[in-house]
Amino acid sequence: MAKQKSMKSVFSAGLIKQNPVFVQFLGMCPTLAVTGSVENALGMGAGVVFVLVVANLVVSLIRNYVPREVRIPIYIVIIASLVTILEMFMKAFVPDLAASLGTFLSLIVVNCLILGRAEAFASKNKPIPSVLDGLGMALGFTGGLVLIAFFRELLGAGTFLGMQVIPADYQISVLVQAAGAFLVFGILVSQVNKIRLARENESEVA
Amino acid sequence: MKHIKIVITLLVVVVLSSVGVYAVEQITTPIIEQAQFEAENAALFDVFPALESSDDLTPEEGLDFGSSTVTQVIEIDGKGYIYTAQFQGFQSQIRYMIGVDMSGTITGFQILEQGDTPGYGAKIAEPLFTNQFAGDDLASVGGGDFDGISGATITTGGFTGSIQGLASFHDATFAGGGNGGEETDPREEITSEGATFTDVTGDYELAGTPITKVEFANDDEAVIYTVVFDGWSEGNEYIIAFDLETHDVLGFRALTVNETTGIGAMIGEDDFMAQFDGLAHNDALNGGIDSVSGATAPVTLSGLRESLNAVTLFHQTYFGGGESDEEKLERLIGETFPNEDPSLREDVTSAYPASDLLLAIYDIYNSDSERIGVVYYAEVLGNSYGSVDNIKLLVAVEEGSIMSEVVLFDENETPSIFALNELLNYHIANYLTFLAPEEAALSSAYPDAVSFDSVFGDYPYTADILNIFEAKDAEDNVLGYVYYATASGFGGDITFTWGVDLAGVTKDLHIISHGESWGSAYPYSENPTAGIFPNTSWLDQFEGADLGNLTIGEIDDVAGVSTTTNGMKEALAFIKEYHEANVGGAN
Repeated sequence: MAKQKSMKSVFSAGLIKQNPVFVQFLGMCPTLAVTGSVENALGMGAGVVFVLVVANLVVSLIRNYVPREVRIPIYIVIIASLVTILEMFMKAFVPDLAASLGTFLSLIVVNCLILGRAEAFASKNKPIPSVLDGLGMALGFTGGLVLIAFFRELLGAGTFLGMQVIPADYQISVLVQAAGAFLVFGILVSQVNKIRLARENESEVA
Repeated sequence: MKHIKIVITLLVVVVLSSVGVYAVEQITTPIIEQAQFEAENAALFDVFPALESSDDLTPEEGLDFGSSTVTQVIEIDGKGYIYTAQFQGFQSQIRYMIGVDMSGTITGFQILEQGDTPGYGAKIAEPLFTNQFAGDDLASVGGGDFDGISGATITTGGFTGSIQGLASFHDATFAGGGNGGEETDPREEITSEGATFTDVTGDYELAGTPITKVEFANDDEAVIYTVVFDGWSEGNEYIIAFDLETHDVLGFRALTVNETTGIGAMIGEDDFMAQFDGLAHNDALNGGIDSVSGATAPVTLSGLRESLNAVTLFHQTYFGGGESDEEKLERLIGETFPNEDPSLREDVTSAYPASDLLLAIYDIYNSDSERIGVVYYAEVLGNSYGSVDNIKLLVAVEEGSIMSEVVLFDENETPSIFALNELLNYHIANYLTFLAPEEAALSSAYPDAVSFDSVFGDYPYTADILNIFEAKDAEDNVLGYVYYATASGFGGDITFTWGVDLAGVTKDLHIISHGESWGSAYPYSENPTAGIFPNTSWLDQFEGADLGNLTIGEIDDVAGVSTTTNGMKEALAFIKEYHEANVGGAN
């Protein structure tokens, strides 16, 4: 049972407690760049889910055979290959999404979240927890992206998943711009911190 | 052992990764290519709805795309053209496809490939951008008539350049597309239809001129110059035709316009070009063209005028046209003195001292044989910065006045002020006879004196004083001066004389003539019941006063007649100043 519980906590850590977007601040580049629309955020998130889960799995599998000195280069080669594969698959099967994500797809390679999890978790844990960790982190990342994108798209462009919700006169168009990403991101971080800290205090008291 | 393990592990990982990537590539490449091919062919139908599957879609071969970004052209026989072009966006190469029908109208537009910033440059592929083109004229879109993407200046800029190049390529290659190759030659438009043109550029020395090509139309009917000039941007090109008989302009067509849309680009517009039709030779020389369509483009216009001037002068040098100096002199005198009887004009140059500046002096008479003025025909130094040029000008003087008009031969130059001053002094010293009042008016201003001699010629000339006299006693000793001048009153000029002795104490102020109505100010009149200017105590304040202590500005105006009193004060204050600076000060 103890083991079961730890699996669950491994998975849920990335979702909230150690959310890569709002707590760890990993992968800020796509966080700010592709959150102009929920659709892009979901596409980016899906890509990260794939790369992170597979990368964590592979890294975990070979963790006992990799010499310490060259582990980082090896992780990078693996991640880069995975991203290339992902990019080719997306171009082949979902070309529209690949086109709208543009270069940020390739930039998953340098997303510190991937390398960060490979180094911090997968290289020290068994395959199943590593996959769960990757899945949790990637979903947490996706969730963060979608949350930011939701506000930016809704308030900035007046749409949700492309459907017009708010008329043009009441949109805050700066939110779709780069600066708007920082604004929304900052406000959300403050709110997430407020909830998180309140919770931690509670648990300490309890 | 450890090192070998490291190397082997790295090798294995890299090889396995490569194999994995290679495998996926094998699977996906055909799919990607297929998808791209489908997308491109779908794009063909999309940008050219009139396309049928039976149409030949083979790209045209042997075309020189030059510096344009066009990568491929498919000619759909009898229907139009489909272009593919590629340009550098913000961070990616952007490929697009555009269909154009035979009349040059865009049938559709699509982005085939782009990788610019999502949310910014990537918007180039969105319908808001791509759908704006269908139905537009390719030439005007090429000229920048489309909506760019806000926040994506570089992407928009790249596209602007690309579509501009595409439009001019289309224009040049498929003869404007306009009438399917039947577009009239602009040279024919400004000369005559079906004219034959002979290139004679080699016969002329074009160095130093903006002219790049000289052609004759129908042998000796007209000459056409191809001219390049820099306005706001460089390398604008136009052709202009001059009639070889009248030397007037036949027409003008802008060939290449690199100027800003909506501003300098107006020079390519029909209503701008229309003003050249029949433009007189002299107007072409003097830059007699206007901006039109409300555009303000001083830089473009001045560049054009400058080149036009150079072209006109070039034309004069080789083909004639324009006036000779004699003709011009005749015309300018006629314009300045419309009442002249030219048959009575007298060349009086030899009657006056020679001057380096003067080419000739003419007395001008009207048909009643009354002299109405004099014309100085002079050549003086121009005011140009950096270059020393002599310019010819006319100074016309109406009888009894000073320099009523200066007429320049070359309107692009201004004469130096020193030269004009020298002319003025010449006129004053040799020609001008100063006006003199009745002797009695002088005596009234200086009762002690018995004789008066005009000495105005000895002092700096000013149009605000009519004359200055020395007041002398019976032994011919100078007692003081009398100023003869006018003030502007309410009812016209007030003419007066005003004496002042050698010590600077004023004598009498005598009003010779006036048109004032002093009625409402009668309390100041010496005769209150009549109240007639100038019998007023107000004027007494200027008599017997020490000029040095007389602060004219502090003397009160008279309520109700302030125009009169103000005019007098101004004129008297000027005389006081002039006297202290010149006449009195000279003593």
